[in-house]
Amino acid sequence: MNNPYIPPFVDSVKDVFTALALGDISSGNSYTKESLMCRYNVIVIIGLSGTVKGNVVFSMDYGTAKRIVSAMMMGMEIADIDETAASALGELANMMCGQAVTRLLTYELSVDITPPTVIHGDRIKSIISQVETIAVEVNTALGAIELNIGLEI
Amino acid sequence: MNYVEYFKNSMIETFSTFFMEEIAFTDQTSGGGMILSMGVAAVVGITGNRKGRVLVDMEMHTAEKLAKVLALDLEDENIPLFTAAELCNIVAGGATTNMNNMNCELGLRLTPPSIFSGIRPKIYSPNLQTHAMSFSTSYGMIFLNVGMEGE
Repeated sequence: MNNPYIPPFVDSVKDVFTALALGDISSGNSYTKESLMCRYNVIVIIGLSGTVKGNVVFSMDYGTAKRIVSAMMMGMEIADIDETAASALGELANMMCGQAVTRLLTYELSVDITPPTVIHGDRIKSIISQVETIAVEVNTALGAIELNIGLEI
Repeated sequence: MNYVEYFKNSMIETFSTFFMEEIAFTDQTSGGGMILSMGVAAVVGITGNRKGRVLVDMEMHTAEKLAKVLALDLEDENIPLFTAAELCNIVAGGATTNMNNMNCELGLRLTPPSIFSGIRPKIYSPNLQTHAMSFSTSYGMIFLNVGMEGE
């Protein structure tokens, strides 16, 4: 992970996950994407503008998304990614990116984030950036999350 | 002028400039909730003193026809998606520039576009009151959906 701006995002994902008591979490491989596709069918996107422009995308499968929402809602059974579940996923991503951009201030980067947008469905192809995208596999007790970061620096 | 009008006008002007077509604005609804995409969706985020997002949605064959007009190489299967993204970027850029010119305190800025395609993907923006606009074009229907915080 040579890009110095990536660790603040990974650390923030871990910190927020831990703070919400969502279970164990660890980051795995990171790689530059040749394919522009996100791996999973549930996607939360947050845009960045300011000193750095770009997009951060969290992708996960339906099972992981439902387990995360259920854990955030004290064990409530989640049958589908409806508006309530999507709001929870959006808020989780918002907290993670909010904390990450605070950390970016230490690099003297002033970055603002957009409200989250949640997209899900079958055979979703996503192009989150026309610049190099770095993907980080994050393994959690609730399933895998693919963190995609495309920054125009 | 309501901010929605800036986006509506920007879409009409963009089509006139780039595709030489006077397009018809057909419908507008307000609300929120889950959006069922037609197949290709491009999203541009807005930051500044008001935050939000702009969504342009269309069927894949509409994106392909638009790309063909711009004489882009359709050998690359991603070109229709990039065309939809650029349309969203231009519409959002035109609208926010005019809004900033009218009120410099807004300080609106855009994020790079992201693009999604699939089998009727569902799109939801929590906490945003959104406004959906439909435009009838010779290339097919194009849907513009704008939402900003603080309404």
